[in-house]
Amino acid sequence: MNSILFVVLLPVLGSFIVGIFGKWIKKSLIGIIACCSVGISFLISAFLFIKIINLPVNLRFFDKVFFQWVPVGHFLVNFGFYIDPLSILMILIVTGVSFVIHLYSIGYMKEEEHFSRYFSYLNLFVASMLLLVLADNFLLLFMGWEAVGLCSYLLIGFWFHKKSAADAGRKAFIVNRIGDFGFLLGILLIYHTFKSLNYSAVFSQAPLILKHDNGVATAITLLLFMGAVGKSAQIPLYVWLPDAMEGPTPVSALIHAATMVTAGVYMIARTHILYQFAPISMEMVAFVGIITAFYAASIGTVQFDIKRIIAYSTISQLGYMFLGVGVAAYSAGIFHLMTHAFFKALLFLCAGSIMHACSGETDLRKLSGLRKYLPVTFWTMVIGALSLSGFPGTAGFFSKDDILAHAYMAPYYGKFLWGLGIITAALTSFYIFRIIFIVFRGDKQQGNHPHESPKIMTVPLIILAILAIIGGYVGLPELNFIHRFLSPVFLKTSALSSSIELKTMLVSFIFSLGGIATAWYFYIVNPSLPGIIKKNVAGLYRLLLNKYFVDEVYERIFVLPGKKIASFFSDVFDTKYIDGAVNETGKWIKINSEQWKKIQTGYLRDYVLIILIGGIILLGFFITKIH
Amino acid sequence: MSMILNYLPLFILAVLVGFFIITSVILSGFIGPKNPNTTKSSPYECGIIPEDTARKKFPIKFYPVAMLFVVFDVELVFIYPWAVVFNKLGVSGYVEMVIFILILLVGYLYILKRGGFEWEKRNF
Amino acid sequence: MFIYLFMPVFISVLTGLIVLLYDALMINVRKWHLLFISLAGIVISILYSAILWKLPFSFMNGMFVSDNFSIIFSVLFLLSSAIVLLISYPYLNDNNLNFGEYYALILFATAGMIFMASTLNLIVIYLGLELLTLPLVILTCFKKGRDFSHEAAIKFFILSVFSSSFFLFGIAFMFGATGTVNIAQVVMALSTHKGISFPYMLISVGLLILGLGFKISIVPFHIWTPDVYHGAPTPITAFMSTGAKLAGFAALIRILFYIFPAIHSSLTEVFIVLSVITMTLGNIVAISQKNIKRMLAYSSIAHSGYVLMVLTVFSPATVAAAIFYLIVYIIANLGAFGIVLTLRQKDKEYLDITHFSGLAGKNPFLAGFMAVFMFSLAGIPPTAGFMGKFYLFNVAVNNGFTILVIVGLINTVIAAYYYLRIVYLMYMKKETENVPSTISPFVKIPLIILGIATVFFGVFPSSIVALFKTTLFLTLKL
Repeated sequence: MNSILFVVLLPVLGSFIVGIFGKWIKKSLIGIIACCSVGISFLISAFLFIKIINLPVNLRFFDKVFFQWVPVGHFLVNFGFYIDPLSILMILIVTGVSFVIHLYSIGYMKEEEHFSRYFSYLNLFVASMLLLVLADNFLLLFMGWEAVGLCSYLLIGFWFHKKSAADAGRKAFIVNRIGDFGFLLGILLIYHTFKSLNYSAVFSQAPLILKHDNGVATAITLLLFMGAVGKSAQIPLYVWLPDAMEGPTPVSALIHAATMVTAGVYMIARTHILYQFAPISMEMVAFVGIITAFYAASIGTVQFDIKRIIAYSTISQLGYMFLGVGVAAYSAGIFHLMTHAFFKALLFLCAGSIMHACSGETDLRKLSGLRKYLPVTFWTMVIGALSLSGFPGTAGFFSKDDILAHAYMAPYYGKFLWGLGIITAALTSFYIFRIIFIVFRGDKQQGNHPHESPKIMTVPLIILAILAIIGGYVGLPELNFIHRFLSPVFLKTSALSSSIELKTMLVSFIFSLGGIATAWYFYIVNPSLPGIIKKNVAGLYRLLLNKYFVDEVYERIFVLPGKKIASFFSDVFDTKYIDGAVNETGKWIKINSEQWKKIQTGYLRDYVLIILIGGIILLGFFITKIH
Repeated sequence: MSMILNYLPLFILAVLVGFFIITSVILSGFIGPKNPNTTKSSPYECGIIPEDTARKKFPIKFYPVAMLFVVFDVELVFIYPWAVVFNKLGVSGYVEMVIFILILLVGYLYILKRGGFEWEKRNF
Repeated sequence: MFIYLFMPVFISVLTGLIVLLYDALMINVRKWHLLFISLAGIVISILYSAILWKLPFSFMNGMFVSDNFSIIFSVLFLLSSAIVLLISYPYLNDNNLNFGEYYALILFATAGMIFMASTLNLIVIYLGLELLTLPLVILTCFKKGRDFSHEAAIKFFILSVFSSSFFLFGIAFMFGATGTVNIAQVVMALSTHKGISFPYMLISVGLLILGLGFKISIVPFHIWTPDVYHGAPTPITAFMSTGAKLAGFAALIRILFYIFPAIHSSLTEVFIVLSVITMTLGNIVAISQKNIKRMLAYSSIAHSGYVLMVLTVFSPATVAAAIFYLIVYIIANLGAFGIVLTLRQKDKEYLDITHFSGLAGKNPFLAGFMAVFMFSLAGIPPTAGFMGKFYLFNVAVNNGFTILVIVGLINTVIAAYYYLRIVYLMYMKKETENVPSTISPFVKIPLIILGIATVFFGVFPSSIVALFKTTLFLTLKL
């Protein structure tokens, strides 16, 4: 189990090597180093996974402490990794998907001038995420959490000379900070309550301490959830994610699929023991999840930017995951996290491939008829879209229905959650097939010379497409390998009656099929229809197109007053009072200095006098001491 | 208080000495006869008549000579008492005095070589 | 046996005499022979001191003692003399000053310092003080033909005689009060003659503080420092601000240590006041200095103030912190003066602070080291200066002098201004006039050693401080 250290260490090492020596290394070698560090990391993870599988169920937990990290008085935090089925599964997903994205990036970023910087950040991003997943205490988790935020900032703003990219990076960072603030408070409250930050200590004490104190449990979990909302882009802190596509497309794939945004879901699954004692928080998680899911999907239906649509789709799918963990179906949530990682990475990389083919174009209105030119991209994207829509037989089908079935059974407003989930599913399949139909059907537009991407990019697409189909079969309703694998981690998993599951499955299938059919009708059969609808419900359309004006509202409520306060402090308070006080003190000391300098007259007679007077005062003092 | 009482005779003596000096100077000024003439007023009654005032610059060469004289003169101050108790001090006393003389010798050699005894060559 | 005790000081004097005669008697003297002989003598002295480590011995009722305290200080004196000799070698050549007398006088002064640190007898301390001061006076005007130098020497001579007379007067009072000039026996003597002798002893202590305070430049007895540091040849300024100052502290710490139990309450108050005014005046006036030597003179006054802060209380920690601070200070100060010495062409020196402008572009080596030494003097991590201040302030806080530490911290901030100004000028400013620099290996090697020491003690200070704590205090009680 010691090899677990290398899982994290290798990407870090890769990052440093590429980052420091990148100037002197050839691009091809940089790619190899970066991919290999993640690839080997993946192999080690797979090896550990097999090792764990072969162990008896109750022996699959390890707390591997490497050294004492922060020993301050009674406060002790170890640098240690917590290995259990959940974290093993997570590192498998993270390293696996990241590896594929690394491969893809070599082709995608071939022309990039700052190739080494890109891979250095990318490796560091993976390392941070692994640290986050493997941490055995909240402080280390927080460190990984922050490092992930930092890397996302660096990568989103990778083309920082572009103002929009730099702004998007900053936005991601600042919005994340808001969530992190709550998260940190939550961690402090955990320390205050449990006098420890170690998972094992906290979780073992949780039943004793929290049973009598529901308020504390609610406070802790809500604060942690605040962090999750920021990192996993839920209402109201989702605003950074659509802008995050300013970074290179593989980065979006990485952020949306394998790293960063899933951190929130993972964290709630990890701390589910605390959530058990806070039903209010659970409800909150479920509601925020489903509302976000619906809300983001509705925005996705009218956008014109491919990457933006997929970004809203991520928000929406994350909403599903939160719905899953919110109704205590943790393994379903994690299951969806996994399948989502596959098909969302796939979709983003396909979008990247389209951009690659059409010189960076992402506007739906300017793309069409690409099927002939990009056959691989087309077929893999269709698979991704089917999986996202939850088409039977694809990965998304199993995981999404797992969540929806659990939601149906939920003790609080189950029917409502389920109903909204079903509608969202319909919207989802509508917006994703809207992309497919517009981009790949029809005639090629003038001026474009699209071409299929090189092998280094298509192979990852194919790998992910395969995963997007077969990835779901680990969760077949009856065999349900993934639930059995994860179940020792989670306290209880509510059993589903297969009849209900079948029922919900059928309904959601009908709804998603309906979504696809609508898209087909709108954009293939009767392309004039969207225009007519647009006119009839112009208000709603505008609302959706402008993303419910949330960015504008935030601008008015938070950003402008914030800027005003900041400018008051920087222009008036700081310059006048703070700087003034400092400058005056400095001036005063200088004046004194000039005055006191005059003691040094240069005349020996004065010096003798000064020594004499000093001596007399000194002796005088001693004489007063004589009683 | 015993310590300070020990110094009482000394204090009385100091007062008496001061009193004697002051009164004798003042009294002699009152009592003594005053018959000044040129010979009496001159600094040296029987010697060379001063040609000029003494308050003028004169060569710094005189000072090093005076200082060297003092240095080598003062060694005698140490040698006299040493000679008195020479027998009691034994070999160690002898060795110590040899070291002392040797250090002086170094100084002598140094001055010699640096031209300290050559009046004409002095250039300062 | 006892002859070994004297070996360090004996060899220093002997080497001085040899160098003096060698230069005077030999024909066609190679100048580097003088340096070599002096350094050899110093090295042998250091080795002898090292042999005596942890072998406490007292000779003639404390007339001459050898304990860990004296050995540490002796080694420091010898090392600082060695470094001063090294960095002054090219300077002497360029100024046609390379005579045996220079080496001899420095070695004699070193012997005087060793005497000051290795005795319990006030009279011997006085002798050591004079043996240190007189060579320094001559060295101050060693560069003949500079009026400034002569003026400085005259001032230094008269004022040090003046202050020595106070010291001597203090010894007389001490003898009158207690019947002994051995400071180790003072407290016992006091307990047997109760009553009237106590006031005399207080006066005596005041006079002794005045005499030594002159040497270590405590305000208001610092008054000679700027003028003399300014007027003296630069290597001699380095010597005065390091070795000579250290000797004053050695004697002061020893005297206070023994006398402290008798009069601690009054001493504490005096030292708080002296410490505050010394560091405040030193730092504030340093700000408006335009000459680097004068600036460093005031800085050296301020550093004395910091050390006085902990002499208010005596414990292993305070003595260790004070000595560590002094070591850190002399390392950085020698380094700073070493760099000041390189900014010259032949006998013309460039001593204005503005002459440092743009040094980094022209000579990154010098600028880098100067920055390290300035950081150390200002007390910025990871240099030794920070750790020195840390231990000092830590000890002061532990003994309840929080206000004093706050004053000290404010002073550190003020001090940062004039130290960092040098760094600012070197790195951020363009060169204003063409300032040449002359670097020779004789300066370069000590600078590298001092630079490494500065960083080393900044990163690994604990072992040496622990060593001082465990070894010094026990033997002080000899």
